[in-house]
Amino acid sequence: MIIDLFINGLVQGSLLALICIGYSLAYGTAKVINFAHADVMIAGGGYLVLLWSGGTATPEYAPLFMSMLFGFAAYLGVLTWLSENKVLQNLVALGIGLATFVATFVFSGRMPFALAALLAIPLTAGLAVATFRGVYLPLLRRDAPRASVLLAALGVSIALESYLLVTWGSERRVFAANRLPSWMNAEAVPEGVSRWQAACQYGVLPLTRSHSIPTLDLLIVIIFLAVVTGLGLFFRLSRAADAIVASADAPMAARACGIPVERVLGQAFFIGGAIASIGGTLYVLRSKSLDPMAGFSPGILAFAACVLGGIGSLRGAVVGAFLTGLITSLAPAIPLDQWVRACLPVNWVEFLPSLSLSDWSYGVVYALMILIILFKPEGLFKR
Amino acid sequence: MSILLELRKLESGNWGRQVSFDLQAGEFVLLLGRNSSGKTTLLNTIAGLLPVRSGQLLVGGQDVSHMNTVGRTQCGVRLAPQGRQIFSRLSVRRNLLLGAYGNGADHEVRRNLTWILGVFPDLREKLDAVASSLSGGQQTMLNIGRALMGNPRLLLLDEPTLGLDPQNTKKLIDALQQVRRERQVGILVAEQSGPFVRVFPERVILMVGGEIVFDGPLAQATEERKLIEIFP
Amino acid sequence: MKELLSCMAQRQRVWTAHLLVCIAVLAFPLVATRGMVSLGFVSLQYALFALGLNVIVGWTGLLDLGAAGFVAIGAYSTAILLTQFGLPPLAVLPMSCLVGFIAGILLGLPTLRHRLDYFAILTLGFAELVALGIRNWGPITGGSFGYSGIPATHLPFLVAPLRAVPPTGFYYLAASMVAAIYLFVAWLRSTSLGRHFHVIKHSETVGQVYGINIYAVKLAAFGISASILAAGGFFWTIYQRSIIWTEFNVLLSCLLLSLLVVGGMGNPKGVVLGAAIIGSLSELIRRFLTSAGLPQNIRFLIFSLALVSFILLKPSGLVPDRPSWLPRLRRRLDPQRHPVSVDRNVSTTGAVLEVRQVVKSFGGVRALDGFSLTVEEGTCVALIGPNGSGKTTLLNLINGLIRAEGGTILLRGKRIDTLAPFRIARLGIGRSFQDLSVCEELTAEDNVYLTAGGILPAQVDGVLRQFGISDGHVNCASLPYGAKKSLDLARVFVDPTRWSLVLLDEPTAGLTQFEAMDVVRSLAALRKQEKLSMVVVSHDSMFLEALGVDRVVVIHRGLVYKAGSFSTIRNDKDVQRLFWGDNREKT
Repeated sequence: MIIDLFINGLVQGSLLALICIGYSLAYGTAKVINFAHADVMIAGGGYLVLLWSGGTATPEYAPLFMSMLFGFAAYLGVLTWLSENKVLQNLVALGIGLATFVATFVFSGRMPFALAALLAIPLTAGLAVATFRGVYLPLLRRDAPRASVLLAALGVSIALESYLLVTWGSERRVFAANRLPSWMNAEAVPEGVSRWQAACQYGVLPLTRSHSIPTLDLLIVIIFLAVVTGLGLFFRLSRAADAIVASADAPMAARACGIPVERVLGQAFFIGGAIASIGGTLYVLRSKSLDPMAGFSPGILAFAACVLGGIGSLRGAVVGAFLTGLITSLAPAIPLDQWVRACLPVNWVEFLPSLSLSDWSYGVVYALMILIILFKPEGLFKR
Repeated sequence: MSILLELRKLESGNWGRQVSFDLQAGEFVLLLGRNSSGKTTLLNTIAGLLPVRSGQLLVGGQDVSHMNTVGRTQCGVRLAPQGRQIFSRLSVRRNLLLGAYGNGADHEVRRNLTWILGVFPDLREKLDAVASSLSGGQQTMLNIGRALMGNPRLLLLDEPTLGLDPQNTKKLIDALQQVRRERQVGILVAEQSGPFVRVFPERVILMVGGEIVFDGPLAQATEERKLIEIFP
Repeated sequence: MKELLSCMAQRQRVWTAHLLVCIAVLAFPLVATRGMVSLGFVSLQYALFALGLNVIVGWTGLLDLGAAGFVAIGAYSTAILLTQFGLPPLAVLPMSCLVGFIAGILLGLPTLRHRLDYFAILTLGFAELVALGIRNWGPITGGSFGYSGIPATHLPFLVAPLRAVPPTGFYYLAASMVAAIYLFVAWLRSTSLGRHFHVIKHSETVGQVYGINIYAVKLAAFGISASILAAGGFFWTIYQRSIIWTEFNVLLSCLLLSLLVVGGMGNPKGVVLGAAIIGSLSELIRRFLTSAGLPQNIRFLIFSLALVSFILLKPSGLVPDRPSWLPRLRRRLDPQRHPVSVDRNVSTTGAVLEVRQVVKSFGGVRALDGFSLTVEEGTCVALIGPNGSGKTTLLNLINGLIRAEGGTILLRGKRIDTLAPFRIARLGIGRSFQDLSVCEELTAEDNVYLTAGGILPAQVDGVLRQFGISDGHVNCASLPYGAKKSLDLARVFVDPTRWSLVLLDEPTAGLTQFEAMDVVRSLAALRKQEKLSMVVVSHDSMFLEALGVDRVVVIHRGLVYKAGSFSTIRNDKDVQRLFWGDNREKT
């Protein structure tokens, strides 16, 4: 039992880590706490569902609204990358934005899964860049006070979340399991089936006699490891990555070297957004549904994870994410309320709040985050 | 000799005062003044980090007043900012290579690197060390080396001797003399204190409260008792 | 005299305007439909929220992202007190305010010490925990199902035809509450606490060196803000008669913040008006959405977008508010009001300040390496040295803004290096800053008033003229650089009896000859008059000479290089070499 919870915690940690990397990049480079990051992730998941699933899971207005959102995002996002010429810049960006809009609208519900998943990545990354370009960059340029930047970040997050809630409604939208390839659905494995067959056909990989792991979960962990390795290689080998680190360390000196700091920061957001998109896709697949309200809770959760590990440090973000995943997975197993009830007289018990940690699972993380900020604000790791 | 840098009634910062002077290619000019005299603001404005409020700024005859930093670096203006500001998490090599961002082909960059390591031998030993592990003096060298990697026509140095001990100051002075000999770079150095003044006495510009109160050779400044403005 | 008359005329206008508004508000239900009256009630409720949030966000500059948490606390405590304890509503109102206040203080105690970012996140986390706690505390709060069955509120003091039939009764109750809070808040602004809020928003460092206990003031602001928000929660409960934990989420916090940002923050008049307008917009949209069958989230979308747009349009717009200082003409503040315990006892050694072997490093570099300094009573010591030699660090250590790693600092024989900066300031150590530290949105006069204790207008005018600031009524932003620096000095010296030792950090840096003259004359005169002890950091030899410094200490690499009289040091060859290399300068 514990082992299952532990494995579950690791998987949740992997998913959270994919979000946390983006938070960390945003904070490390632009020094903003990008509350909107998790909402971008959910938007990405929603985009995937829109393109691929359609039909039952997608409400009426979703294609229109999502096309508008991603079209606008594409427009803003592309603006960050292009060269100086203002008119040309706007034309190209506008073109790409319109193309995205039309394509999304036309292809809703009709794209094969793999293509939709691949397409979601750059477009979600574009949404992340759009939030940077549209909101954070103008504020940074004008040297806005930190309070303004924080408030704006919260505003963007709420705006995006509300938009998604309006688009998708607030209920969970489950999509038909039979539309997914068989290896994504975990089912009971009959006797005498080989490991490989079990993994592919029944969606579960048996590990030992009593424990097994759903193939999808295994894939999540593998993808996570791949992403982290890729990111590590990127930062070690690439010049663009050097420019990102330089812009974070000493933005003025970077500018004096001729590094286009604003464009570089946009790239950091792009990377964070792309990774979040992968996280969003996996998250949606794992929960087999799209829950628009889910944007906020994993968002704050991922943020708490980053604080735990040390905001601004990539390593810290990942470690914090795993810690958080494990805590949220294992905490419900601790029978705290039983212990307390055993100790206290009966009539008192009436007035106690529910101490079942499953109700408080998020609360535990928030409480932990609060404690960490109070006592060790740098988290466990420094930059 | 051609005029490399020209300031015409340039207003920057918030003093409401204007500055005019020019600089020839290969000239070495010392910008002296106390804190808050406007030296850093002026250098930052020339480099493009601060906007030009009024007046004109010309580099090599071209009006760059409204160009941003990226454009200015491509015009050959490079600043080594105050307080070193190295990229602490990157290695020395990467710091230097970033100095050549967007400037020139690979082999040119490598040639530059070799030359700079010749000018600052201390950096050669530490080439793959992470920049934050360098001593203060070495970080200053790195800062200036990084600026030189961009192959500038005009080099701006903002208080390079800040916090530097005499030994490193001497090394720095030797390096700058070498640069001056081997490349026809115009150098504008903002400083507060003396060691440089002795070595490069051809031209000093004194700034007080955002405006220039003297522009000429050091000997003349001494005679006219101008240096008293910057006691002692 | 003319000023006084114009002020009185202006005050008359202000009072008339207020009176008209009151009449309009009172008469409104007589002419409006029920729907409009309930709209009015909701607007008043939002005005209340805005007034509360304004105290912490608008005045003190602290970002409270968890306002919904305090509203929830107020709402639920109201619900519980009304139903479980059966108390009358008019008794419950102050009680829920009190609960809110206590919650604010409790939350503030651990969180207010932290930076803005972390404080904001902590408030956000707190609000989420409150919501979760409410959901999980089934027995008391009704848990996930919410709390309903709150009895209709009968307000006994109203008679027919204005009987307490909702919404009219609620409307008047809310109106009186808003009026009461508005008066309270307006009064608060004119007190010294109110001034302290502004100082903290502008610069905590300045506040500390003028003796303000930053932590206590922030705590007070937070507590007051929380109690007003809780009062808003009271109205929420009695109007809706059923509440559920999901209403008090981050969406609500964001809505309240947008009320403040879009409607205007700072001046209570503006806050009430703006919040009422935006709040009624919000309510109208809510009604429209409900009747059209559209999701409520559209409303949150609109307001969050409005929030972001307003911030983009005016990024620094969270700051400016010109406090009306009209009260100062009405009241003559008691000259002994400000908390000062200037210690003027002469120590056994006759020295007012003793710095003994202080050590301070920054990132591996030793700024001060066992530095010692003694300042005799009534003398002026000049501190000079090359850049980076630790001069400002020393001043910051004396003021208590940073802590030394070794050594001690004594003021008249008593250790001060372990004290909080505001206590050191209250013992009589004043400070002027090297960088600009005045509040640019205020006028010169207001800047002086901001940090002053009990002073008279004549003193303010006098000191401004003394330091060469001709017009005290214009915004500082339009003053020249030199005037802004001199303003810092004016602020210190408007009441010289407050200090026994003054630390001046490059007072003439960036000043022209003429501006420096004014400063020199004033300081020299003040020195003689008040027998102040001074430590002056400066490079300006003419200034130091005119000031008549008694001693010059040369600091180099964190240690005393040389010390002596002004003329000795000036002509000392070693010192010249230190600054100028081997250049021989004729002096």
